[in-house]
Amino acid sequence: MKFTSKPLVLLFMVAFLSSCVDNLDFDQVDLDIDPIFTSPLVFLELDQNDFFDADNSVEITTVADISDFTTLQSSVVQDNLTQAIFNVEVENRFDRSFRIEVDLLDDNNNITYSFTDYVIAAGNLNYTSTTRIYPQSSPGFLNSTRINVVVSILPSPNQLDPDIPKTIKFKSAGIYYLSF
Amino acid sequence: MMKKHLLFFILFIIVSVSVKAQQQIAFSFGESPQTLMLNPGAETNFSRHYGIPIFSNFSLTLGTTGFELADLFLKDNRDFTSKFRDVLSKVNQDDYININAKIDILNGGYRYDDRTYISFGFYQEVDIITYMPKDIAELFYYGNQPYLNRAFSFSQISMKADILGVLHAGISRKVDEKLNIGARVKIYSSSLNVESNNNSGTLTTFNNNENILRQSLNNLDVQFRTSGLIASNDEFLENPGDLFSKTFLGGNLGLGLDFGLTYHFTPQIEFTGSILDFGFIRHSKNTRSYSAKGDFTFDGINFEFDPDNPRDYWQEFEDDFDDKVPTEETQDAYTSWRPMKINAALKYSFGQIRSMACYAKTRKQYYYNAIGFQVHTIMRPLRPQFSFTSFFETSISEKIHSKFTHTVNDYSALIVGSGMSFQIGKVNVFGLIDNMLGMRDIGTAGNISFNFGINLVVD
Repeated sequence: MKFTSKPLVLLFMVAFLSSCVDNLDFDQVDLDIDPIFTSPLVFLELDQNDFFDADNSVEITTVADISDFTTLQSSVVQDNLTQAIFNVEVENRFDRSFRIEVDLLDDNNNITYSFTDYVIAAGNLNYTSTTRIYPQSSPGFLNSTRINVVVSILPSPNQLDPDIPKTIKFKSAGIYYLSF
Repeated sequence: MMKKHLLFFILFIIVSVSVKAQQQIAFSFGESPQTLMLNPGAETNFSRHYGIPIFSNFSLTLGTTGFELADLFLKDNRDFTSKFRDVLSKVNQDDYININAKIDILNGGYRYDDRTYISFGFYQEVDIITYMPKDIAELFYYGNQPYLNRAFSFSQISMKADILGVLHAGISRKVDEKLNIGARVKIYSSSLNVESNNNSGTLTTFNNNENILRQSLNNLDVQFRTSGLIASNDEFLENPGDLFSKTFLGGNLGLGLDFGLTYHFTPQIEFTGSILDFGFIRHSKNTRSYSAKGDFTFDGINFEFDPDNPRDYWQEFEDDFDDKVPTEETQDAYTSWRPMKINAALKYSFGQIRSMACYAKTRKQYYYNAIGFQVHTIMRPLRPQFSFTSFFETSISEKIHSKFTHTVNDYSALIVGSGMSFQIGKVNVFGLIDNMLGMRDIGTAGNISFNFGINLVVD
């Protein structure tokens, strides 16, 4: 049996010659890349002893601490951050109210962004707060390299007793919206 | 008639050269000296061959699984970002993109004696395979905020890219009337290698009692190895042309072997098999490897309000991370295995018998038609890729042979391929294409392969 060549050759050629990429457009690449990253930030837990002096005799009304915080200095964040959200949760088991001040500072300790003070009522176990920051509206924000936290116990007729356990827990997380 | 065939064939080459291809259907497709590159134990019936430089054998393959080009690039007025997100959602970590191109720079052969044929040459190859690291892609594209509690896996990072030249010499020897065996020695010269595989580890962000969130890096063990990418002066290669100039013994060298055989159970039933690229490359020049390994849990910065003992929390965090997840950049030498291929075919010949002049002025009997099947396996970083092909071969004349195939593989269960081999005087021209249906609409074809060559053959 000799195979008839013409139909095969024809099929072969039709397939090749009709190949087409006309329905594709490689110039349409315009990709929006808008990831949202989140990470834990500062947390703290203070008890009644943190608000007394070494002898447990004199009440201290304010404690403060500070840390470097260089996340915002990354070039990816500097060039592409469109907004940031800071979530705060506080659990206050004192029968006293607290004010927590959080400031962002630059290398020279100048305030670059100041969060509205968090005032937590006595016994509030479910305090939450959300702050949204747009770098365009807060130009100093992206210069922040440090975070400063000041915790103040507010005046009250209820005196602290070093022998009665009380705690206040502060938790925070940041959400960063990037756009490339 | 012959001129018409040739014209068609040249047209086919011009049209198809811009497309893509795969060599596997050329396996066991006789009459072309290039068959020896796929099976060093292939039978030969000529006394010498000379490859036309650059044109003696060219093949190109582009394959994707999990998505098609049309999913991204179809002219449908849909927003590209939406299409990209659909593709990202569609693919999984077993999907991959594979690009392979080979071009013969030099190829030739001569008959040493009645039983022995020697062949040699040099070709360049680009081979890239990358599996879809879906978790990492989604982590970078969407971020971790939409995916709390999801363990993003680094084990999905698996890729290999090579640019190399291969200097080779092979021998095909007829043992007896039934058996023909062969082997080929290859010296690899790699100008570029980038590879990453056997990675592990996860990154998870989840709610926690200590702070609002906890980030946990578990069992991280990630490594990237490169050679030829970064020069000794720490600069990336600026001129891609350098990559090809180093492929002739100027890169990192390696050694490989091909083996093959042809066995006739009967005059009509033939088995062919080969193992290709059983070899390695030792990378010692311009190497740079990067690795990271360890476990780390981050709850945030724990302020302790101890004025008597002020702490540099951030520095402590960075030191702790570096201690627990050490990263390393080295210029150590390493060994990279070539992707070994295994081919096997069983062919039953039938129909009209033709007689062909052979090198020793003898004539050999051939059948006009044959059917059979063949399997092709290539070792890849994650797992071997298999394909199964059934085929029909027919000789249109003594000098024109054709092959039609149906292949089932990772890309599709319906890949129709075709090949033709012409001999006009001393000029042998062959061309094969896999996935003819895909040629009609390349955008929706997961895989298309193309292979052609022109050689001078002296009977």
